[in-house]
Amino acid sequence: MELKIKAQAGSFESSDVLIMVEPQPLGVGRKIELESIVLQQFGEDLLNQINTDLDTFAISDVRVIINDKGALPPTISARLETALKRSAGIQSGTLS
Amino acid sequence: MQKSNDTNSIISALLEARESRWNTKLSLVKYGWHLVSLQLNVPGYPKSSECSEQFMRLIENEFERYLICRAIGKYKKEKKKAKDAAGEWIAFLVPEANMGAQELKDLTEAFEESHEYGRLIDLDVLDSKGKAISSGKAKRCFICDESAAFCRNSRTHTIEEVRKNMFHKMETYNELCYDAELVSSVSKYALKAMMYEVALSPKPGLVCRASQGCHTDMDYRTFMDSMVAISPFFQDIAQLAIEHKGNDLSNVLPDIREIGLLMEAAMTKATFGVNTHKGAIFLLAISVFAAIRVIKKKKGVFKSNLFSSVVQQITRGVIQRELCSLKESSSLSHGEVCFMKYGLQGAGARGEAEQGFPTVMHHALPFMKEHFNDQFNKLTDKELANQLIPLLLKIIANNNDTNVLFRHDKTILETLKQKATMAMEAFQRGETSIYTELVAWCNENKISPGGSADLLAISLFVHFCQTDTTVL
Repeated sequence: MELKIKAQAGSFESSDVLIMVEPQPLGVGRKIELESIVLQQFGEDLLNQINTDLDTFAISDVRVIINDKGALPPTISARLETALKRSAGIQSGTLS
Repeated sequence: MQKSNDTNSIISALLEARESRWNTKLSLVKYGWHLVSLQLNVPGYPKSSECSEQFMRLIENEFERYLICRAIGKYKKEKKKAKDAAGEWIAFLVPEANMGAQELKDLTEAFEESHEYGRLIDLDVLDSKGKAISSGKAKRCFICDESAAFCRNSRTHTIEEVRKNMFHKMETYNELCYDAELVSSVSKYALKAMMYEVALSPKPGLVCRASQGCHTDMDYRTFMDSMVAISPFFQDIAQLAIEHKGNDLSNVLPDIREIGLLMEAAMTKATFGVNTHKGAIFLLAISVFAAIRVIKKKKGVFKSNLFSSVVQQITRGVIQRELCSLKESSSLSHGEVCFMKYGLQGAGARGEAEQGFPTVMHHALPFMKEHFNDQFNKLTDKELANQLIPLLLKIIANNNDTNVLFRHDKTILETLKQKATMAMEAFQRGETSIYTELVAWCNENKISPGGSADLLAISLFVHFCQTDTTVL
């Protein structure tokens, strides 16, 4: 997937996550900034999940800013997917 | 794990709702508001139900009062309500110029902490720049003492368990608030019924606003003092009815009477020993208990026939137990003396109660149904008197009043009943002179139909239970 513009998905509501993605020049790699109310307990799991998801979409150069208010893994994946698709210009809604 | 299409569409709807809710909040604060949002954090689906919506109404009102009183002049009742797939939410808006967002956050936290059910709600503050103000404190889990976020992510409890627990707590709180409202309303009806009765003027032989009737030891002021003294106890009786478990009412009368005795003592103290309300206390105490039972059982609806039957269940056997076994003695009450002398015709307040208030059910209520209109609550004092006088006459005409039997005899009682019938018929034709004559006759001959006055109060009490909808 080719990212074109800055995009975001999600919310700062409880049990949700706000994810912003920004395209990066080739070769820069992944810059992941994670803030979460469960950083201590689940920070590593979250990072692994984000990386696995990025692998799935074959994205290697990107800046991802995650502000997590306690979202469960499926929510995080859905929000990330939407943010990426919005950035790529292939989706406007959340899951459509 | 393969999820069904239904589950996917629900998740999709939830995610969209949350995102659009967030965007709505951001667009609201752009106008220079700090925003407090009130929502419930119900896991799973659906996010709201009748129970949760009722709970939200209660918390909404409580929080708004809390905010108004702690941000006088700063919060001006600007709010926005919405409901989406993620549940109900309410935004309280405070102009940024009036108050700091942190100050607002401190208030919301203090509210959550002070409220017994504060853990069930989420009060989030978003400042006018679109920045969420965080408390930095981790919310506790509903079930255990861990942080809520930890339990959610590690799935310590199943969604079903958390939902069941939350809805049970909301239900408990809803019922608690409903019961408190019910206790307050029904107690007020009892006091209001007594006040309307004594304030009605003129009345034959009875104490009223304009006259002492045929009495020399009490007047309107004595009644006011007595009513004020006994009225708080109606709440105790109502509470007793709320707490009563099961359907067996055969043993509740002694409990009601214990409170009744306290009421009599309060009355005696307030009136310096004059009996203004002994009969009314007995009848209204049972009525308050019965009304609460009926309204609770019928989920907010008052049915007069059920009320009558509950009164009968409470008082079943009192005449046999308390009057039939009487022996001549100097310490008998007026009602007891009447029963010794006149038998069932002189059973008085006990007789009315044991039969489920027949005078009220068969005479007063049909009369009220026919003659009272739906504007009853808006009548002026004068108009009200014109409705209540014929009702009182209807009751006098049909009641074997032991107050009259005790001081006089059967002949006087029968004469009074006939005169009341005639006065009522004339009054309804617009001729008030016969009523004026009846009032004078009773005052001169010291005839005071106090039992009928009590039944007027009971009739009004039933009317208020039937028509007042504040609690229903």
